[in-house]
Amino acid sequence: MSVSNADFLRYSRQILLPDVGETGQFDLFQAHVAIVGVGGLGNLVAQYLAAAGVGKLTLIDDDKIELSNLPRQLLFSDKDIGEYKSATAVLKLSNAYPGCNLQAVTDKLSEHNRQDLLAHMELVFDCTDDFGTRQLINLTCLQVKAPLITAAVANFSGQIFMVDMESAPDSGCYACLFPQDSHISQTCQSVGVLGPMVGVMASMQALLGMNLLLGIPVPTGKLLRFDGRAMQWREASLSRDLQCHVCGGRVEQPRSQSQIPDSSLLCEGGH
Amino acid sequence: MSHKISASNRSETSIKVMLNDEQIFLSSGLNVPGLLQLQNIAASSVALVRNGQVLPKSRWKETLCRDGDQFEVFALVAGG
Repeated sequence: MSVSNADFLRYSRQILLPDVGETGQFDLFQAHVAIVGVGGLGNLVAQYLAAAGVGKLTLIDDDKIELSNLPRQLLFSDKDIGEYKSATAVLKLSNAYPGCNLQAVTDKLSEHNRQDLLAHMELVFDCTDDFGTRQLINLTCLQVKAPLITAAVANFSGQIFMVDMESAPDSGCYACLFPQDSHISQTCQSVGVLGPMVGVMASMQALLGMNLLLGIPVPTGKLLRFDGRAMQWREASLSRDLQCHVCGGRVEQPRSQSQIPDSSLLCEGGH
Repeated sequence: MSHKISASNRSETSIKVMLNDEQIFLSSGLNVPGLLQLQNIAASSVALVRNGQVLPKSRWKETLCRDGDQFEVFALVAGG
């Protein structure tokens, strides 16, 4: 199958890249990606992917739009206040990018729906603002074997890394870095955030994800941290925690349901 | 007993490490939780990188600070 003339023109600056070409663009058309959390990070990641021609996007968020979201959640405006973030984002992006098949899920990702929602995804983005949900996404991605790109931001600190136990098992999972009993001191609600700080991290997330979908080699096992005051990136190699409560017991064995703990053992974070 | 050593009173057993780009002197034999406690850092809300590699929390207790170690300690961020 080839790219139509109109699409060739629309995506010409992407297709022009030797790493992309028509084949890469076609790969994007074929991809189904989930974005969990449609706040600051999710808004931008969703827009970049929809605009780039990703074929199918599922946006998952049960939050509603509030006035204090508007400085950084750029798809939303005053008249959207009170509406579901996921449904509003889908409406706006469907209008702007009719080639993208967008689906809104207005439920919170939970024990009941997580497997159904994230199974068969080529890639999952964690854009949530909730530590409990972050743990649940990590667990589910391990179970359904979907690569996960997780980013977080608060104040002038940003963090991003990829979890993929299939291609980079030695780098561990989200819980290897942040165990479930960790204490969260920084959320956007408690310490504030500037819009572009979110934009930097969302752009990195979208770029990493697109490279992955395009088959461009991505640096696995790297934790990247951004300091928005010093304008400084730092990187570190991720390590698997052999005693991790999520992935630790499965070192030399193939993945199976029974070896991964039930999610009821994971803590639930607040908003 | 304090493991922190003032610049004017370094014994032969003192070691020098970097913590978030700051040089600090410690007595040898201090483990990672000891280092964090000395710096008044709550272990439950941070992750730690030692010489460019994440050190999983389950290994903190057994890991002793060595002369020349470079530590980065940072808070868990969960906002989106």
